Amino acid sequence: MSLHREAHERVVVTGRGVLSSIGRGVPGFAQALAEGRNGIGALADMPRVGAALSGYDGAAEFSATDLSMMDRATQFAVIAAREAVQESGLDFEGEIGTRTAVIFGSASGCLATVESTYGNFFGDRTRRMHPMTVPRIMANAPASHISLLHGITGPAFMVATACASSAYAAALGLQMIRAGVVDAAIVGGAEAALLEGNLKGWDALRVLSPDTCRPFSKGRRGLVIGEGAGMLVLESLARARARGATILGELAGCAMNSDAHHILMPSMEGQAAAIRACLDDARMSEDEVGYVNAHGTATAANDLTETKAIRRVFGHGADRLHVSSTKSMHGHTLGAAGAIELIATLISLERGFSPPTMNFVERDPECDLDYVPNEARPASCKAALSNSFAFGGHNAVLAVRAAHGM
Amino acid sequence: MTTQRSIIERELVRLLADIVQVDPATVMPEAGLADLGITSLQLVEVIFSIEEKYGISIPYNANEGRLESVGVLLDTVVDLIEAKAEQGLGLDADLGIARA
Repeated sequence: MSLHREAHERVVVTGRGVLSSIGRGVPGFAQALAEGRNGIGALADMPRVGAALSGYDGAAEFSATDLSMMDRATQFAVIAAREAVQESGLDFEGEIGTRTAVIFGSASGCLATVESTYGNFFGDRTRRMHPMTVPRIMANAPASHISLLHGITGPAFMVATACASSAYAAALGLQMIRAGVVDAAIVGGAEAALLEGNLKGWDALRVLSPDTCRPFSKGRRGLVIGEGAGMLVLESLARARARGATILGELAGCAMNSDAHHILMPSMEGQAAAIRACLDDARMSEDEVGYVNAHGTATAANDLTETKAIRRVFGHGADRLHVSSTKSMHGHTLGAAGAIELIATLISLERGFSPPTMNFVERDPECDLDYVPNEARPASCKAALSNSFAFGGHNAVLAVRAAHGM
Repeated sequence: MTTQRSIIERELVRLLADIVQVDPATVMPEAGLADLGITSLQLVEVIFSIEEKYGISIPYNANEGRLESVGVLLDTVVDLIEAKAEQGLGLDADLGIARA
């Protein structure tokens, strides 16, 4: 195996778009990560905390006609994709439109529409449903709307691997470009699931924190659900260079695997195997990695297992890693988490700081890594990983190299 | 309350014993749930059954695991059922005053 891949097999990021409770748009999001901004708070009309896009108004973003076709998750995805495409400067006129994929990940798809329409029908016994119920509910709708709006005629589809969905989307985009199936891909995910029914379901599982999200900290009480979207434009290095695009980082490698262990409980072996496989795929040594954006949900099970998996792969080298969970700020955005956190990882390399793990109160003797507690820290590493470990045992790890000098 | 306590205890022990498939007679109040092989997720289902049956809400976060033994779980459930009964009485008494 040669140490380096050819330019047509190397995949770079040329556009990013993000909506989160700590910031909309990449500049604001980056600033929020550096400040350790809190996006978690009491939810309106629900006795729960969450990381909501407060102040978001779909009617201010879309025409009434478009809006009647779009679930909240679709709206988020479309807005994030628009920002990513704008940053990339890509125009999909001509052949490139046929050679671009749209790969969208979400854990539950268009759940707001499910809750409102089914709630009206079964609960309030309304006699008819809105005529756009089906096109608004279908889980592939966000991928389709992105393809429609940008005139992208290559493959567009949806991938559902729970909280690893948009990390899978990025991994699949990387692999399709490498394989020469497409030249570019818009990848990412969205989730808008801060809904009464859905939260009741999560509540019944007894894994939600009643106050805030404290990943890896002693006294962590579970996850806080967030909403948002992250979308990225990927293309081959050769193509990006040829058109003189600004390169924002290299998606150097990926790994996807399954625990085959338990529908909810994580497996250290599965996670460690995914991290290892990702490093191998990226042809990246352990020493090269300086930062790991952890899955870090703040559940008892995840944080302990993930810590052990990182230690298993990096050995004593794990001690010098910065490992942080940005979920402590923007909450667990479920299917959007992989992409939002990939963007956070790119920002970390680009701007030279490790985002903090906020709300960290006390060291847990069983979680023994450097979690960058409560304050962002300057860093000068050239490579980083982003972990996504989902219910169902779906693991995805993405490896990123800094753009400097590319 | 003793009778009620023993009824609830039998019910709880049967639920727990069913999950780990052991003879309910071998499940002692001092037994740790983890020692019985009951995971936090299985406990979540037991709690759900008890809540549905008795109309109570048992505070429990799977990340904290405060209900560590059969006895602690039983005490919690019995306390909540008693508190609910008292609340019910209080409500009736209020209504009585209002009617008077």
